[in-house]
Amino acid sequence: MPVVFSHLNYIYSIKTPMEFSALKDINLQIEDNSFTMIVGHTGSGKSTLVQQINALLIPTSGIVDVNGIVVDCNVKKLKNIKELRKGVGLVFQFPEYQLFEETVLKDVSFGPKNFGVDNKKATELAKEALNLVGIDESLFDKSPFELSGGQKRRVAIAGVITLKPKVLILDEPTAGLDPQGSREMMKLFTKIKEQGTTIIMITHDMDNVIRYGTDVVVLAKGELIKKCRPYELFLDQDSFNSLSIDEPLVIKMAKRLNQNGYHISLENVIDIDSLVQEIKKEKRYE
Amino acid sequence: MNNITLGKYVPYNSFVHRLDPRYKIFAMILLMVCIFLKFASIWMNFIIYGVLAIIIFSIMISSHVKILALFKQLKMMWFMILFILVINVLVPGDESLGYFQITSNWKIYFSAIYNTLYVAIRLVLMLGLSMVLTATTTPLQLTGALEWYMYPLKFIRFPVHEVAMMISLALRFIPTILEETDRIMKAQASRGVDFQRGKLKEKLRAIISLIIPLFVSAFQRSDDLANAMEARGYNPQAKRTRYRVNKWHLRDSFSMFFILLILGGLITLIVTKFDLVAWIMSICA
Amino acid sequence: MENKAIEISEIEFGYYKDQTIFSNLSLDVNVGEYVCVIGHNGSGKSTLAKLLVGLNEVRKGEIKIFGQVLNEENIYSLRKKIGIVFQNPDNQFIGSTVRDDIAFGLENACVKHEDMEEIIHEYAKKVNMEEFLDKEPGNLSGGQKQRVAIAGTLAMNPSLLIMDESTSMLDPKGKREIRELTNMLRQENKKLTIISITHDIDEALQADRVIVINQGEVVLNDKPEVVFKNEEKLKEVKLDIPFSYKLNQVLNKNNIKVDSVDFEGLVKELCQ
Repeated sequence: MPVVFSHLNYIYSIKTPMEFSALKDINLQIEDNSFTMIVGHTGSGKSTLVQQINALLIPTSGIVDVNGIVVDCNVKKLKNIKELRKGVGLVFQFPEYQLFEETVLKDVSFGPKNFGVDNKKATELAKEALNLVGIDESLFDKSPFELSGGQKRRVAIAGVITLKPKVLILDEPTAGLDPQGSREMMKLFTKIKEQGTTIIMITHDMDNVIRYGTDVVVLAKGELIKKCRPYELFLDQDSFNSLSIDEPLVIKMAKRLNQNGYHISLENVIDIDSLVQEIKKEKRYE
Repeated sequence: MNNITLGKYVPYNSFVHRLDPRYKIFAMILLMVCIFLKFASIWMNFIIYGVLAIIIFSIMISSHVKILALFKQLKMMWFMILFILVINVLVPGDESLGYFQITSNWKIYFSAIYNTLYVAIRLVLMLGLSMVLTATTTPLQLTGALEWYMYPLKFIRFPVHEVAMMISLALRFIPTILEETDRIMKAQASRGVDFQRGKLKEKLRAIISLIIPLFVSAFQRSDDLANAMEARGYNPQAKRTRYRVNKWHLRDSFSMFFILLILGGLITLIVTKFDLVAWIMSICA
Repeated sequence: MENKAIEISEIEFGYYKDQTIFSNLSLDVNVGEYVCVIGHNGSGKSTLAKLLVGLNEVRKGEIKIFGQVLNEENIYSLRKKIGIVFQNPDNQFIGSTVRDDIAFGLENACVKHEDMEEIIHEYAKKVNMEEFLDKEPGNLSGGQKQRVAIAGTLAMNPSLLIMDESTSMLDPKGKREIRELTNMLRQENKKLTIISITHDIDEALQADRVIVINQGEVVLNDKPEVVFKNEEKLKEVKLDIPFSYKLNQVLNKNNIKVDSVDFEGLVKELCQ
């Protein structure tokens, strides 16, 4: 089941002097098993949007429909809130700050236990998740606070994916990582997607958007500007400039070459290797 | 998180805003003393309360503090006032002021009602005063003023500067840590933690899942902060100059004179046991 | 006239007794140079920054700053010459407002009260934060907070500016702002030595010199053009290379022969 927003509005501190309209009339459908990237400036409403998906924030008006569970403003106390959250995993920015248990294994099994999974099964699930994120078994009984920064983040992500959510939301999961760490992280998410999970990721990194995204959602000042395939963002130079998004260098290069007689289709350019393949296809290299 | 309205600075540029924070603290204390004075008769007490209320409310209006907000604050206090009334009613009062006979052996003394009224009025006025102080003075200014008042403690080796620095850093980081709390609560809620409901054991677990990350990040922050401060040349033992310096202006002297005049006047009334009601009656007679 | 800003010779350091981050590290930086230090997380880059400002002490060897050996006695006087901007924008915002934060360093340096206002305005203007002087940190973006931190350090008039991953927590806009600011500072003051510890390969491309650190050792230390051509070594220490360098390599591997390692150069060669 996809995630559907319809006529969704969200206002912070409503009826106070600090009232702030963070999301305005959002109509959006996020496809099942897609890798949807959400981009936009700081303060454009990205984080507010994803927090509606697992009812951390309740819409001021309009609805969110996730796997058939509908959240709207009339829901005061959501009865199936646990069921909803079980199906939607949310990894916040710098998730390593949510670790608290004595051991890595305990921390990762904390989630399943909260959702009523028994101890034995929870530990099993935790081990599975830790394997998936690439944490070595020798670290299972260590304190999460003894790990390196990158490992901590993996453990924190494992803590969210233990329940095998149908939808996994990631808020800038690669922020602060070095290039190598960030690449490994992205590989991990592709792996999770291949298991049938829908991935929604907030990011500023346009290289990742074209490399891994199946769809991209652009927000600005709380409004939905565009939802399209990643390469489509860069087709129309004018509208793209007005969004003030960084153009990935591979796209920029492809465009420059096209200006000089190449016929590269931007749809096929997702990284340097694919760019070179496209260049090779040109007549002059055949 | 954001409903802590008591003690919130509201930026305006009113006369009270511009007053020296040291003087504002002093004036608040003086006015509080006035509120607690007792006069020759009950009627006299109420008249003076009326005058003080007019003064305090006009200060509030002139410094853009909403009087309505004051009464909203009081909502929480009704229970307390009721409680005081009950206590006063149950305790034998002053018979000379009269009483209602309820049953043969239970009387409600008028003094009980008077006393409760006094408490209620004092509470309202005091709240009003403290709201004026916090709404017109930034926490930073308050800390600075407190540091100035604590200055004599230096002679008994009390680390006045360090304490003031700690308070202002704490104030600086309160919003940051509130934001952090919100984030961690949401993160744990996504992992199935229910902060509202659940058995005691579950609740305890929920709180631990919030407190530990908060502490860890607070230690990290303080470590970073200490590094940043040290790298910018901070040395608690060394002499420092100050950017924020309180300057005494004519307006401070002027309003101080006014406040002292009120206090002086009230004390004269007490010493002379002046009773306005009795005086008018004596003239009419 | 001393022309070395930093001379590190044979230092050994670790936070705990049985930990060794640097076993024998030596390097130096000239006055007026803009040096980028790169390395993956945990390579010891940030530790190096802390040692340079004397937040930690070396076990062996010595660190000379502008010709003076760093020790406990001269640390406060040397710090006046060094400005450092850290990674986390929130945790280094000391004052309650932009104004107070810039003033903090001035207070420590015992600048006269009467002179502060002017200095604060001057440096706030330099980092383009003059309109925000009375704003609190909660109302500023990460990039703005970092700019304030830079203003606060610059106000002390340092001869050496250290940026310890100052852009790694910022969004692309914030990163750009800081990069532009650094460039402006270099042009304005040719004597200002800048050491930037970074993950940002594009920033490293603009440096006078790039130092690659891995496991506490200097692996590469040369001009960016030379460093980024050494693909093997960089791969070994798990580092990225800039886009145009990488494109050059991949093209050559695919038998499309190109020489340029810059964007426009590659466009030209490919379109011949």
